[in-house]
Amino acid sequence: MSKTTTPPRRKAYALLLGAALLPASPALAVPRCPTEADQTVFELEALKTELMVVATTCHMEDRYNAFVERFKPTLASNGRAFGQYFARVHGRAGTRQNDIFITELANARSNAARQLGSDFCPRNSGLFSEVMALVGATDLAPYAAGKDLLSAGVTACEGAPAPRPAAATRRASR
Amino acid sequence: MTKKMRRATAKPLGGLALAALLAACAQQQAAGPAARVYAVDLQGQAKNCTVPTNVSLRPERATDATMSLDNDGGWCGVTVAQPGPKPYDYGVVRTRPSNGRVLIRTVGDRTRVDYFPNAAFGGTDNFAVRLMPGGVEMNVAVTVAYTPPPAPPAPPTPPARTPARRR
Repeated sequence: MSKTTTPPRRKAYALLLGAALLPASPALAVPRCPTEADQTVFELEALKTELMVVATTCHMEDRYNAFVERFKPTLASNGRAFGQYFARVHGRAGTRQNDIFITELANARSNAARQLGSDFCPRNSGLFSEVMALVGATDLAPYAAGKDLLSAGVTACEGAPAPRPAAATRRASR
Repeated sequence: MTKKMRRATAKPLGGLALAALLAACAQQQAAGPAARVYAVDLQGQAKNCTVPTNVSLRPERATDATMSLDNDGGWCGVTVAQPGPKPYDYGVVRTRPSNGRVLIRTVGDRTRVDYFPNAAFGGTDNFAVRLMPGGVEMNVAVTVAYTPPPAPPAPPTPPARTPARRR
């Protein structure tokens, strides 16, 4: 009767090899949604979250409200499409996954804001001027596509995090 | 008499100087202070990024621009501006790049259109943006050079095991 065990030295070599390979393996590209429609939905949701973070951090709630008021129909239909994506991908857990993703997104944008420190408000408040200068609602999605808001922290579609225990889940105020 | 005359001539001269000073001041105010540039917008540029320095966008037809960069994780950006110079009000992505991301941002008194290649991508890519006001369009053809990192050193071969001696 024989028992196969990995000798400690071989285990050490395996670990060494793994450690050597780790920094050499190229980082994956920022995941994108398989369809352009889904990608657009995520980008628009990220723009809304970014503007919300600017508004709450820089006390510009009035400007955020004006943005929501102006683009209400587009934002509402995008919100529905966003919810439908999670329902389609996660089934009955869709709502919960949606909530988790929104929380993660808000956290990621808040962290990005924190990294900018005192530059955040003077720099990013310009987003309101830009978004309110849009010629029409049809420009909103292509405008969001040029803001690269889904590269840090969370990513579109594939970035949806795995389910977490309910106790650890906090819902971000929208 | 002479004193009076001197005063009389000095007054208009002083007035002219004051007027000139005020005019210069007004001109300065009209130009306004230079727009602020934030450190975060200058960090992370690709080490080798070659772009045209003077891209003038025309409303009548799309402008073609080229960009070449080494893929080291950094961005490469084409800077454009309205006359003044002043930045465009906003920009939209008309065609997404296949192997990267686009970021249109205001940097000081200009607009910069940045391209971030996907990690480990080398080859050609392209994208198009439209800038407002004016609806001017720019097509950017990108060439990305990527050199894979050197392979990690091979692990040392374990020493040959001598068979245990039977007693």
